Amino acid sequence: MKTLSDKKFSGKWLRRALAAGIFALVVLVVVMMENNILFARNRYIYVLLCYIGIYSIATSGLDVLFGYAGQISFGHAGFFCIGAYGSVLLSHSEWGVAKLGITPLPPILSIPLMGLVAALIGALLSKPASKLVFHFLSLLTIAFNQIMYLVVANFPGLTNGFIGITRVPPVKLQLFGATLLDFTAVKSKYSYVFLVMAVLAALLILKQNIVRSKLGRSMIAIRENQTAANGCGVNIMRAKTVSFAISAFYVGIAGGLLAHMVGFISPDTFVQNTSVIFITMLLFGGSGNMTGPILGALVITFVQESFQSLQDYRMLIYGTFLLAVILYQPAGLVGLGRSISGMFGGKGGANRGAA
Amino acid sequence: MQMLINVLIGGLVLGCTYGMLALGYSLIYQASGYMNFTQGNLLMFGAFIAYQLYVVWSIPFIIALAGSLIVMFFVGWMMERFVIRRLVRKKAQNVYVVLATIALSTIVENAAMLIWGSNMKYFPSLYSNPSPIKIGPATVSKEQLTCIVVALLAMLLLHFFLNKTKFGTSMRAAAQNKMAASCMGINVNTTIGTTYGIAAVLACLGGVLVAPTMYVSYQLGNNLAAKSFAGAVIGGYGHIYGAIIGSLFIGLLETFVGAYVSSAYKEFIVYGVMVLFMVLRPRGICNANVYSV
Amino acid sequence: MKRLFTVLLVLALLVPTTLAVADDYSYVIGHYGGFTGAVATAGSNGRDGILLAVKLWNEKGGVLGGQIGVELYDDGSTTEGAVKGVSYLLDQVGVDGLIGSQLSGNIQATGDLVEAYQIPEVATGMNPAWLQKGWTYLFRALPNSSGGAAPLVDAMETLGSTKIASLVYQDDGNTSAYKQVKAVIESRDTVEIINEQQAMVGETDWTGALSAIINAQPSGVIIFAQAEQGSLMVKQIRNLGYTGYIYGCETFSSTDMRNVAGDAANGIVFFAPHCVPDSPEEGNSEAEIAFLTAWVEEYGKMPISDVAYRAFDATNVLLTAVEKAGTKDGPTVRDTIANMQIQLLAGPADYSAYDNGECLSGQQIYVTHGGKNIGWAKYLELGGNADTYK
Repeated sequence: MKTLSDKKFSGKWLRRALAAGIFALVVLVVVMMENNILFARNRYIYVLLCYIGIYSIATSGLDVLFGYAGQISFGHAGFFCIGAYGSVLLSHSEWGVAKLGITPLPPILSIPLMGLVAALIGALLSKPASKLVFHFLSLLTIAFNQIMYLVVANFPGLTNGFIGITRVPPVKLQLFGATLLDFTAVKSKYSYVFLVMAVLAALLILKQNIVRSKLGRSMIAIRENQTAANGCGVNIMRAKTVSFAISAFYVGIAGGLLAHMVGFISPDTFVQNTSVIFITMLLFGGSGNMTGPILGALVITFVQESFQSLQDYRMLIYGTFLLAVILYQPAGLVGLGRSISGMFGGKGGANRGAA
Repeated sequence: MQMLINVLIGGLVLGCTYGMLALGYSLIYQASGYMNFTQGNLLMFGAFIAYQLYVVWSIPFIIALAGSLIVMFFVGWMMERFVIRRLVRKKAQNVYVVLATIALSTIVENAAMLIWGSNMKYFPSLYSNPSPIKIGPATVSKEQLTCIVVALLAMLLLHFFLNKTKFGTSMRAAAQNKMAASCMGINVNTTIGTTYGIAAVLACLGGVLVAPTMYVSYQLGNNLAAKSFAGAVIGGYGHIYGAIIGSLFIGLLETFVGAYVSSAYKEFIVYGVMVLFMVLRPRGICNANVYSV
Repeated sequence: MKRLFTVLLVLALLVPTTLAVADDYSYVIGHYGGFTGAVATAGSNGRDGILLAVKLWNEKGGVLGGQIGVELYDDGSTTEGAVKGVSYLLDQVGVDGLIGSQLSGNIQATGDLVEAYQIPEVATGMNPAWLQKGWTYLFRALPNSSGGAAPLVDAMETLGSTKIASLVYQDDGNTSAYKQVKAVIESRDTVEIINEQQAMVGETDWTGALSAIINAQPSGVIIFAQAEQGSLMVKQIRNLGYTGYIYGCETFSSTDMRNVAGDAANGIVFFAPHCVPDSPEEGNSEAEIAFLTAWVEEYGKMPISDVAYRAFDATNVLLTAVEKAGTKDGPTVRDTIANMQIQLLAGPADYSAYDNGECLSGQQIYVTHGGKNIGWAKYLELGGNADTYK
């Protein structure tokens, strides 16, 4: 019996083709920039792309926690902080482990390592968190964020406090003494964006596999109805812990990438506001799917830039804009996209008006 | 001895300020089940309006205070009516409501910055003789004592309102069970709106009380909001008296730790205590009902 | 309909509004600073200082035969903003010179970019750290905070404050200033630090810390903080009954200090590169009076923060160098600045005397007395009375 999902040009394949197409387009644009065909010498676009990429990684991680497992966190900047500061302390030639006399690691190793450490801390955090009601979870994560901020700000012997650490080493890939790839942020053509894209692609594929797996389905079950999921034999504790750990991993890696891109790190990047930005991007783009977080990161970054000309009125308009979006289109841009394609597509009203 | 008195008074003042905000949080949670991040900036806005009335337009203080309380009541009411209620009607998830309150908070903060400028404003003393008075060996400022007394009065008034008046009782009824309350003829929309309005009024009062001891600036609310949350949680989130007790506890804890232990780590200790309470005793000191999912 | 509207709105905002730099500017200055966010007051004063300086130059004919343009970027006092801002200014707009932020974190985050682009930057921060990293394109138009430590400790010795307690606000400017003062104190052995307290970012009540300080019975108290917090700390410590001298850093020159703390502000001894008086006539030099008069004419009221002075001086340094060099080429302008002597509001500056972009050293000491800031020498003339606070 032919089912709907057998159709060749069903929505799923269309969306996959579209995603691949957009990805290819972005890569093409970057290559053209590299070779001066498009946006010649425009490092500003590179910087924006890097930030968008990094925020996409972080927001995708948060999506695993929120969009799929239904847990909220207003404190993921804490994991951002762990990833960033951890990676810096492990790889810096003067601060961190170097002070103890241990040879520092190259950033290409320290970033994923700190991602794993962040995942571990996320798992530890989720143990008390999973028992709490929604609003307590948000308070716990806010407290976590604040505590991480206080840790990096108040131990100047460890982190140089508010003065910050400069000369964070760039990411290099070396094999037996020969430099294969050098993602020095500033030197030639800001090739760092390639690294960010590569990591983003890899992590997105990982996310796709996670959400399609049994673990992913149990997370969605918990999101929809925790009691029913428990009744079906889903191990709630385990699923929540793992989803927390995965989201912490993503955000930690994003933090590490950020630190090595800018070359400087200081505590005031990791305040409460950054966590709110992650959530904003996630909700704006649409949670629970692949493209939503990336769209959210893209649009929010562009909006922040294009509001520059408004100077003092910037944050006010940004707040109003955000409120308008929440009130009128809570499903985010992806919801918007679905309803538009629902307007045009003819699936018998299944998508029409869906928000 | 002198130090003890100073620290005690300072802790009480801080606790009362947090208490004004924490009461707002608990009231709103109890009435509608949502968290609200706007309280801190409503405190700031209320202080600014009082500043505008009292300092710029030279209206006598009591009238200025009443005026700003009335204005803030309407601000709180309108926020509920136009933003929160819309989202509730659309059955939006909790997190959207919270994010909406964060957006509102940003709007209020930046509106204040644009209207009144970004530098600090000086709120003159409420008394014609501003010199501090002596209690035993210690010196205490008059504004601090005013803050404590007025805050405690406000809490008493609130207690009276909620328990002894008809409207207050209907608010409590609607908070416990909306369906049953509306069956009894209580207009639930009005009670919820009033709750938000009262929360805003409390925040405004807190702002006006704290402004003479400090300054008025658009950054005022952010600093106080986070620890008021801790106070609300420790006392039992959603429990009115718990909010008061928890905030006083936090205020005193913070000041005593800052004085006798270490001023560097007192933030850690405050947040650490909050986390401990959340993990080990989520019901807080006053046994609030927090397990409803 | 509603959805269509949202789509249109979003699309409309996706177009980054790049202010096209008009081709009829012969030199464009870029400035990244915090006009919103934590240091908004100081940041917007800095921006106004630059705009005023450029306006005065343009009235006199501009530079290199044409008018001077200014591009601004609000970094929101964050390092992310600074990185994006500097890339925007250097790349999208293509500015010829930069006036930097006052936050040393933002300057350090963008130093490598500026160096790679070979654009001269004159920044307005006081922290010595950002000129110790080996960047050749960065300059400072005021004395850095380490020049204030020794004079301040001299003042302590003169006024008899031998037992010092301190409360330091934990942000980068104030912690580094305190570190320097501590180093001087320890090297001299005439003054003793008996109690140290820290004030975290975001706090508003220091009763605990200040009570502990008063309990230690010091003869002088160091308070290093931004103007917002410092004025409150001063008010609180006076309310707790302290009547001795308070030693502060350059943020205490802000008029807000005296406005908010009122009478409590008397008896503060601080170092500052400039001190903002209450009216233009009270300026310390002809140049300062002219600057303040022009400022009041343009903006209607006095500047609040001394960052206004710093930004004004920085712009003058840059434009004077461009005029001297006769070109806007980055390396040439940089070399011109490095060898330049120029009279600034901060004093006679000589870049050739230093090899890392500094031009002045040593700060002035001021004392708040009778509601006004007066110079150290004048104060000693009045008798140096320890009862200045009453």
